[in-house]
Amino acid sequence: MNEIRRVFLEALLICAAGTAVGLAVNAVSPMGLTLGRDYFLASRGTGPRAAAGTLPAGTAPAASGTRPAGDPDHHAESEAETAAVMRLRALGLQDIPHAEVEESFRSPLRESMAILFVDARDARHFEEGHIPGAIHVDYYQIDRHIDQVLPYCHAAERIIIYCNGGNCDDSELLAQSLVTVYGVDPAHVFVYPGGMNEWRRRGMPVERGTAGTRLQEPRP
Amino acid sequence: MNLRPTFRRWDASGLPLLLARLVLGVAFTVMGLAKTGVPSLILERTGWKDSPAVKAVLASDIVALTGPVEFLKQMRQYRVFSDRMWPLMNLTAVALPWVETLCGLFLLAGVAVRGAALTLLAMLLAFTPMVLLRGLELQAAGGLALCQVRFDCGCGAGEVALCAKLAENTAMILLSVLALMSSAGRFCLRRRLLPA
Repeated sequence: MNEIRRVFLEALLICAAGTAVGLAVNAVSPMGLTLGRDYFLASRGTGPRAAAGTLPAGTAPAASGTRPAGDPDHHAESEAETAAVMRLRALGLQDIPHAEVEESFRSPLRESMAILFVDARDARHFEEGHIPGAIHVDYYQIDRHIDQVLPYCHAAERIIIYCNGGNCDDSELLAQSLVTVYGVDPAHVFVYPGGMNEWRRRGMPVERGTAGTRLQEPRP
Repeated sequence: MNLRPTFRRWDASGLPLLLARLVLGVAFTVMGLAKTGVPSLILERTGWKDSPAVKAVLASDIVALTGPVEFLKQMRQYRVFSDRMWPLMNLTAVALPWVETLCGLFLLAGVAVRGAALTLLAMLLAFTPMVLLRGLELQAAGGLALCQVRFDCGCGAGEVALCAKLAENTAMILLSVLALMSSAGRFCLRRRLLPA
């Protein structure tokens, strides 16, 4: 066999074997990807609100709606956060400034689950520190969490979703997914662009471990 | 000056190839496995992740244990595939770390040496310009000097300095070329996987 042909064949065999092993491990691994899932569907703005380019009537955003359009934020502190806010608005999602997040955190409505804090990051980041009482919904493992969390989301008056902030887009992907795939009322969904980075920077309390808010029973 | 006879003499000892195989083999086995998610799972299930030795290794920035999800996100930052090509992105995120791992293991064992070297060379030649372009983007956005740029390139070592990564990749490209060109068979289990 021609040497060059043989080397190319070997390379192809290695790629095929690697792909086969990868698929086999992915099929049994709890960290595996769902190969048939479009993880970034939400970022393309395929939801009805993004397609229309405006918010539906009667869903005036409580946070961002009070700011003039095109004003890339008095509260976003970095370029990445400003970009995130612009992206959210282009998708028709609502951003919420830190002051309002803090107010919601201190509100008694949080105790009754009328205000929900949802951490969209992976388990490792959640364990390293999250907003006290936050519910963990890893966007990339949403199937594991959604059945338990969804009834609370439908009942809540305000759902504040966050990830690390900056370049992290897990929160916006989760927000868009909740609205477009799971039918949560968009008027109640807010993304905190500053995320955990801003939360920590402002000296707010942080809870460690896996506790968060445990949702033992589906909400009646 | 004709360097070919010198290279042949040097190569015939088998030592240059052995060195290239060991460096590439260790690097790609570690970096590939780190992205598969398997070491994370093992450490978590066994409780070893809390042992001081493991904590020290993880804190040293030599290796960052992630999984397919993180790798998918890191790949997306290069915008090689549009978001509409998500099936290909998902497949690449699942397969590529294992292709790297297999190449590394084959080189360590001295099996299908040229095939593994060619695969690594192709990946390095594709990936290195992407790292450079992404670094230039971050440099422009942050107003930093090129060598001040640090980011997680999806290489399996967590956040790295751009200049160091480019130098490392250049060295690995040279070692891959050496492994591809070498005709030495010493210290190899089965240098040719397929019959000649």
